[in-house]
Amino acid sequence: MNKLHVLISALVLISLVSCEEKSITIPDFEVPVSDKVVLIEELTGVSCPNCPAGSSELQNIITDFEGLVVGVGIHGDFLTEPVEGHSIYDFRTNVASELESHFAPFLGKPAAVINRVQFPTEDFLGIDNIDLWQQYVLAEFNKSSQITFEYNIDYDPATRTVTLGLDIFPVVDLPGQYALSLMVTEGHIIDAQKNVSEIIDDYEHEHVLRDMMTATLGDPIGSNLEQGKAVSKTYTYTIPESDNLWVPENMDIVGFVTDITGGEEEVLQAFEAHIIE
Amino acid sequence: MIKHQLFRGLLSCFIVISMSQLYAQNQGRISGGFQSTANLFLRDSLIGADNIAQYDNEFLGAESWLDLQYSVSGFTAGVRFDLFNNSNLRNPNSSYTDQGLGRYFISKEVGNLEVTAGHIYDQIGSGIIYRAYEARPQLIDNALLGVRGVYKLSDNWKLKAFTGRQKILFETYSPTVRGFSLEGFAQLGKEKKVSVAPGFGFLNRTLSDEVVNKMVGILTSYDDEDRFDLAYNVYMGSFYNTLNIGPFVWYTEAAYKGGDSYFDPNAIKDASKASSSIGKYVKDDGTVFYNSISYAGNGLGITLEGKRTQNFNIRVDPTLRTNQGLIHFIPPMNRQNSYRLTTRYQPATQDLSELAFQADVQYRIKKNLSASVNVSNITDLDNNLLYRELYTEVVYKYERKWQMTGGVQVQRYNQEIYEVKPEVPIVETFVPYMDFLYKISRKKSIRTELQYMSTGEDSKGVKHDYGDWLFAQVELALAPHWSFTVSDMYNAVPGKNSPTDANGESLALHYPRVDVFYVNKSNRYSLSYIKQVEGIVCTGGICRLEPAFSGVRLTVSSTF
Repeated sequence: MNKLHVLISALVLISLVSCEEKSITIPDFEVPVSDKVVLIEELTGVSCPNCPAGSSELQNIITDFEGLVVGVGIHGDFLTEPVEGHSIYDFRTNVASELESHFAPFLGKPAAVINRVQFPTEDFLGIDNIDLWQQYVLAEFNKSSQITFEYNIDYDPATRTVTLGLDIFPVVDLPGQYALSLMVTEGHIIDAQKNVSEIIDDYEHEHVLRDMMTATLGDPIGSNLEQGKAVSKTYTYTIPESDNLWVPENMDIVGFVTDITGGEEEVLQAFEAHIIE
Repeated sequence: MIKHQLFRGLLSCFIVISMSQLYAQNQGRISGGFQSTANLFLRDSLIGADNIAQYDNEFLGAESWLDLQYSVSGFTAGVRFDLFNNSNLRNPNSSYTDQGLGRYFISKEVGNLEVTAGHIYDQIGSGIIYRAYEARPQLIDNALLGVRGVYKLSDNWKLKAFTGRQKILFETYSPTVRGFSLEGFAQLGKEKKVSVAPGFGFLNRTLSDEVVNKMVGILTSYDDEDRFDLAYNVYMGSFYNTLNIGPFVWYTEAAYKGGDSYFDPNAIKDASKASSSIGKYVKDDGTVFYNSISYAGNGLGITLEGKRTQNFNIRVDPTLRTNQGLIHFIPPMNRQNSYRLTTRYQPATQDLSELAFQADVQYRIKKNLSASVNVSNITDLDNNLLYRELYTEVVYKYERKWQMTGGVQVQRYNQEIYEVKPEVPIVETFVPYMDFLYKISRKKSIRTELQYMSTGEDSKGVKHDYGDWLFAQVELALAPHWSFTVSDMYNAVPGKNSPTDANGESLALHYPRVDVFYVNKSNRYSLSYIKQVEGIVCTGGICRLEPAFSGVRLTVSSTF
């Protein structure tokens, strides 16, 4: 090797390591000002050791974006079997299974489907990197709100019947086809959950999808909706009798309208209402 | 995307035109290979082969690769067509369909310089700071789409430099990678019995704005105490050398990575919030030290290896997980076994915290009798046991009539870490095995394998994981074309994770397999009926959990 070769090699090395990079500023978190309410459908399961981290992230997002984010925990098929010797309940339902199949494929759990939007930088609808969830929620707030809801809930304790009266108001003219989904969720359920290296017997499960008042992918509410002209719907649902589960005080109705034009089903607006205030 | 496709198309046209023109002037050499697998998925909910599209409604799937290379007048050009049809290779729990050019490249030697453009497979040293390679069983194909120059400084020294983007299926990740290495060889002393092969490598990865924005978004969501300064660039380097002194060979490599962001699955996030969780991005330096000393002579071969790894997870994009986007490859530190039950539990290389040692001794006692012992011990840097293995093997040949191989394997396998299964004990196994080959005639032989895996019991007397297994296989070979195998893996004493019936009782299931192989010149065909239990599939320490499989598999491979 002659001296020129050594010199060239040394220069290349020095030039590569001597560059100093300008630092990147991390901005402070700010809650956006918006009328939009974003839906997060979390694909989760009691036998999924990484899912408590997802549920924790979901809870933090709901807290940080107070009133602007609604969450649902979907216990479909994958990693949802009750923990042998620990679980009391089985959260698996047909609607959860159908939704999970509908959202497949996804790389693993937990995964979040945010407003049912396929983000261009993601391979799948269900985003399995929980650290990315918040920024995709923020991205949804860049879109303007196109729908508002007005609703009224009556609950009859004698018959355990819930009656929902709902008015859907388009904020702008909405050419296309739309569907309404109504989910029944339950929180504060204490039961086993796998968590990394342990099984937590008294884990508090929140936002568990228990049933749907509409079809799994929603009921059509019409097409070419006019600005300000309400679409009115009334639904009734009887809460099943059960020991310790199906507690009306811990239950919510999660509703959202999807744009089903062209086969996609982006969520335009969502709401969450307690069955008993 | 359109520009990328246009570039691919133009380069492919250029390759074809170049090849045809050059062929007219000077006949070169064309080579290649074809590999294809077709699966018929037959649902078997009892063993867990269900609930994915292939079993529910697709039923048929296939993967194919066709490689073509042409060399002439110092040029080498190649293309590869990849096809995935209802494939479960990308994600064992879902279906993937796509096809297109999986690789294209052209290279040319000009004096002391060799230049290559296109998809490039390469590595620096043993791959600790950089390795671009392909492992089809796990659909790892992280070729660099870029350019590379290799300059021969002298007969024994070469300088290599490259830059580009890492491939992902038929696209590339947006960050860029560049690096160089300087490698040499020298013989020392008058008798030249001592030689050294030193090398130095350097790598730089620059994040794209798209990835930086993602990372900024992630860090914005973190508490102040979880945040860190983000950088576009990470730099890393490694020094490596092979020293030969007579029968001794000492390979050493030390690698250092500057502060880079990576996901630490054990770090606590949002500790100050009401709802904290485990796992967050952190930023830290990383190191790997790897040594291998071996001796070979007088029928004796000894290899001693040691490796220490700390915070050495390097990806083109820190937000990627599992085996996606890995830039580097850290060598595994356990025996690469081949028998069905001795490969059931394999340790994946841990890139954040690992201290590993391995000793391998092979001795030829007589011309027809040899023995070997392999011991490996892997812990994390806090001395928690991850994996331990003792493997013995004795091979005895009787004239040219028969050969018997036998031994035992003892393992301790931290299933909680390797498979992320909570509250499971360290799996303890004891596997005696035997392999007997009998040559009926010059063209006919029969080979049998018999293995038994005995697993440990937990405090309640329940067998670890799937419990005990019995594996038996008979193989009849009719040279030069045909061979037939029949095997069964029987869950003789079911364990905690074995499938259960409706009453919750563990089931002692059979997992049979029947194969027919046909070889004709350089073409190989196989047709198999397979029931396969869930397990770990590894390639050189890179592993993933494979779900159960039930179905029929047809494979074709050919080289030319």
